Amino acid sequence: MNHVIAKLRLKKGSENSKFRKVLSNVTLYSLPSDLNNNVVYNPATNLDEGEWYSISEFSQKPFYLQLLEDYEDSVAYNQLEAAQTSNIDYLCTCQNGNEFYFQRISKTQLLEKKLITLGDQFTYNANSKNIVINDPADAIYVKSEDTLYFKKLSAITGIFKGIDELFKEATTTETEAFLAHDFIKLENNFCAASVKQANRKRIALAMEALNSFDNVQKSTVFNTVKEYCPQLVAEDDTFKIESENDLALLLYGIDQRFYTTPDGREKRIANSIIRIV
Amino acid sequence: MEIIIRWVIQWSYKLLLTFNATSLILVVYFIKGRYYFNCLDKFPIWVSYIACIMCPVVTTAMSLFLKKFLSYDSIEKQPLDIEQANNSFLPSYLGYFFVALSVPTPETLWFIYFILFVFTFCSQAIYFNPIFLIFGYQFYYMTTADNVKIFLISKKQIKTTKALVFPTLKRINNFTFIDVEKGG
Repeated sequence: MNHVIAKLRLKKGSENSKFRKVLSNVTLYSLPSDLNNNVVYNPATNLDEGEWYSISEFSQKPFYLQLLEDYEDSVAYNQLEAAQTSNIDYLCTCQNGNEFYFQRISKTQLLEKKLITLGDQFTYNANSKNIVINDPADAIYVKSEDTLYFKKLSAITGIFKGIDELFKEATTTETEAFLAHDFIKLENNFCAASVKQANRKRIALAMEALNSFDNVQKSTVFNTVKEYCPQLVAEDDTFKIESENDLALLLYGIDQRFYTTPDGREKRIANSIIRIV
Repeated sequence: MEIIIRWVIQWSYKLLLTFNATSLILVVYFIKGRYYFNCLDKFPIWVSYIACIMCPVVTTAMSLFLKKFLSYDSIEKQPLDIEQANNSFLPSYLGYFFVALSVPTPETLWFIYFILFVFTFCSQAIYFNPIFLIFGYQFYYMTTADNVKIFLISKKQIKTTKALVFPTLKRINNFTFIDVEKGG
């Protein structure tokens, strides 16, 4: 039998005591048929339509949920009370004893609206509380494969605490530190505050790459950037950064995303990469 | 509004269950005091007694019918332990009967019944109702696979936990579940 378990946002109590049973004997989700099209999660990889990120051996990861380990029977969980509905953090739906579907419940998904229900009878409801179910779910854990599938990491960071370690976004201090490197020359009042999310994500990747380079690698990488983006080179042989776009090019360069097609005709940037093992 | 209606339904259901579990004390008292129904005064007094006994049976049947509105649950992993609990309520029931038999006046009875009603309502023993036995139900204490102790009402005669699963249960409260599996 399928069960829907809710995790509540409560200040008091152990993690385990925050789960409530919402519903049973319903089928909210269906297992997507395209789960086979998955790529191992990597912040440098963008998904195509119909693709999923996957994390295998999920139970060995530090952000594995105790709920998935402990879940045996729904009778262990207390019934959700009506007054607690606005405290729901996320829903975990167990189907066929093997598939766990996770959905974050944000304030926007908890509809507290005046509703007219259309059906056999038209009914008006002045202050209904409804939860909008997203199919496919934000994350799907298949126990027999011990694999977590998801499309957007930011949607599930609230569910799996610590999973955001996989996705680093540079903090303001880190961004400032990066922009202060002596190979960068800021112009046009460009500063750390002007760096938006996409570039912060790339800065985190670039910092990691830079730290792993030796001097030879560094000069090779910088020379490639100069070759592909001559407009970035300043008179004193540093990179002048005037805009987000300039910064993005430099960061792509550091992450070695520039390439030329094998026939030598076209220069390209890989905005998403998958490592060939 | 819907929340209030649901709340009222839940509370009335709990009140009905509490009444079922405690009403035998009233029945015993009425029989002891040779009370009879006015409408049945043409019949011998034992007809009134039977009618009196039938009242909690009928309300219990009603509560069993209403169980279909409760929420579903299931136990799909083999439980760690199961123990029959049919006899464990006998002492408390004998207690009820002795109280009913020794109460001197109706006022005392109503007060004692009120206290008993409140305690039964607040405790998790709401469904500890021997009339269920007449309907073929058995009581069990069960420890589930993840070590949660629950109270289970089922028609099954259970002696072992081997291959024991309950695919369709109904939740009476967070500790009490009733098995509604057909043919069980």
